[in-house]
Amino acid sequence: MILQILLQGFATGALWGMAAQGMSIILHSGGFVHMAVGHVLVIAGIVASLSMQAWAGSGSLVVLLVVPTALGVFTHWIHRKLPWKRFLGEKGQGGFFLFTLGGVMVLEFLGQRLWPLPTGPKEIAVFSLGWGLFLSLWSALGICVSIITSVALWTLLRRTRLGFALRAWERGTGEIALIGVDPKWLGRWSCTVGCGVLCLGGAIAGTTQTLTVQEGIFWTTGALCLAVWAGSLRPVRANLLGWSLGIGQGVISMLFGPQWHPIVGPLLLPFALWLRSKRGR
Amino acid sequence: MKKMTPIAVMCSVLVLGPILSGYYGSLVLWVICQQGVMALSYDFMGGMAGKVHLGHGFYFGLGAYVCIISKQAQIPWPVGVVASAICGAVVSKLVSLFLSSLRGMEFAVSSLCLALVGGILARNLEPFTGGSGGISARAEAFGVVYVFSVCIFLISFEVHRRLLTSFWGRALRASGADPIAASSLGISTKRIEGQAMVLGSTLAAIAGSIYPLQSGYVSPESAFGLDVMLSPIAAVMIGGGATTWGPLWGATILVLLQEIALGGIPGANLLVFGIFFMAAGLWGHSAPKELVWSLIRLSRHHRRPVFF
Repeated sequence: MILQILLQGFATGALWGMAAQGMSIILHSGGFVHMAVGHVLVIAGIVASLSMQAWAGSGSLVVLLVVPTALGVFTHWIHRKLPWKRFLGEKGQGGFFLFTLGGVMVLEFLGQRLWPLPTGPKEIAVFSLGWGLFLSLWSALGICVSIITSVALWTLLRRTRLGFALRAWERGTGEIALIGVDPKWLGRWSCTVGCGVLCLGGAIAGTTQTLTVQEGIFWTTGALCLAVWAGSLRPVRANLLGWSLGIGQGVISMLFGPQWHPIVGPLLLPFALWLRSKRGR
Repeated sequence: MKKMTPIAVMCSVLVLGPILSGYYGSLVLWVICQQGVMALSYDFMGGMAGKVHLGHGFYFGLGAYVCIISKQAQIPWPVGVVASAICGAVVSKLVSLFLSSLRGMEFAVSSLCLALVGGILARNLEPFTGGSGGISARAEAFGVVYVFSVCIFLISFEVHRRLLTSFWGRALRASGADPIAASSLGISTKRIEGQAMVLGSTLAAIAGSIYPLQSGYVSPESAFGLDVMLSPIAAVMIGGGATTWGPLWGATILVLLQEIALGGIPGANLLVFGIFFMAAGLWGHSAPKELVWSLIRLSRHHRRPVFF
């Protein structure tokens, strides 16, 4: 029983890991707190879930690939339209925070109108791992995808021009000016990569969990908490922290009931920020 | 004398309004009083100290729950209101010890977490709060609630007005504008911001305690919902911070907007708040104010508005 709960927590942790990696890319490159990441994840999940219900069977995997790609392209288009010049100036990070918080409310309003009821998978096929342990196919896929994502992001950050620029941006805007990179381009791409990972995580979440638009803010706080704990642009560490959070939530669900696990993110985040502020001084 | 005229007009509206406008008008005035207290209480942190306190609405919910739980326990409602105020003050003191070392976005995000935790506790502590279904108790006579609300509103107004120009208020504004410069002048920014948080939270908890007296019902959505959290912030953004009249104008405009323009669209206030926040993010905190006043000027003179 305990092992099964831990395994389930591990599967949920894979989703948290992807959320943390997406948030980490945005937070640690330009220092932007993107408050709408949770809503991006949840909306991707809802769209994936509804699409899978419409095209069930062999088309499921195609849906799982098409939905995050389409939503990733859409988020890239939205982030291209943002006035990055304002967000890169003095107090720009605060402006970005308020702007995305406003975006959260607009998305919440639209989400409540479009999807007023929770959406989730109709049926989940599970397979046995032996020793009385069961795992759904999509959860197993989620675990694999979270590992692949962290390796892919690590490679992106260590081996590509975009990755070098993002890591330089982490040191400060002056550094990227020195290497001749446009910060606006970098801002757009950091949000695109981050939101792309979140869309992928969301699509898998939509196949394994019941989601509502109102949950978006909890995903945001949890992802932000993990990204702050991760400390810098370290996707593997963010993923491992995500798994820890998932397992922690599993333990909390076992001890106090499943209704208590959303409290973990909002409780840990202020503590993480407080520790970071102390460490900063 | 000139300074007293607007206050006299405001008092006349609050006294004569219910007599002339009937029940619906009195209800709108009561909501304006409630939102006015919330906006004034938020202005201590959001306007004067210059911090975006996204969890300010948490104290409204806390006050509402403490008052309705004490009402269910057959405790007289004035005692419930006092208990709400004490709870608000104690909790905010504890929270301020933790949050006062944070600045900017870190403070805003941490305070938002406070509100989220409040909502989760209200949903999950079912034996005390009634869970997601909420908790109900007998409502008080509307006349009594209205008079009490107006008294609390006028007290908040006077406290805010006096503190704004006092040494304490100027020190708070200085610490909000430039904490390093304020510290070099001998102002303890942490302490003064902590005091502002406790004062604002106590007033918000009192405003929250009045809510169940009128409605007789409190649920996690009505106490800790996103719109409860954001309406005082939007009011201060619209009216302008660090003034006494600004938050009041903002609260009045927001309530009238919700009553007149958005009454038929459920959840539309979230959309309006969202647009205000996005405008504030793009063009600065005064942008929602400029936007609303331009629209008002446009409707009055039918002229092309000049934005920003």
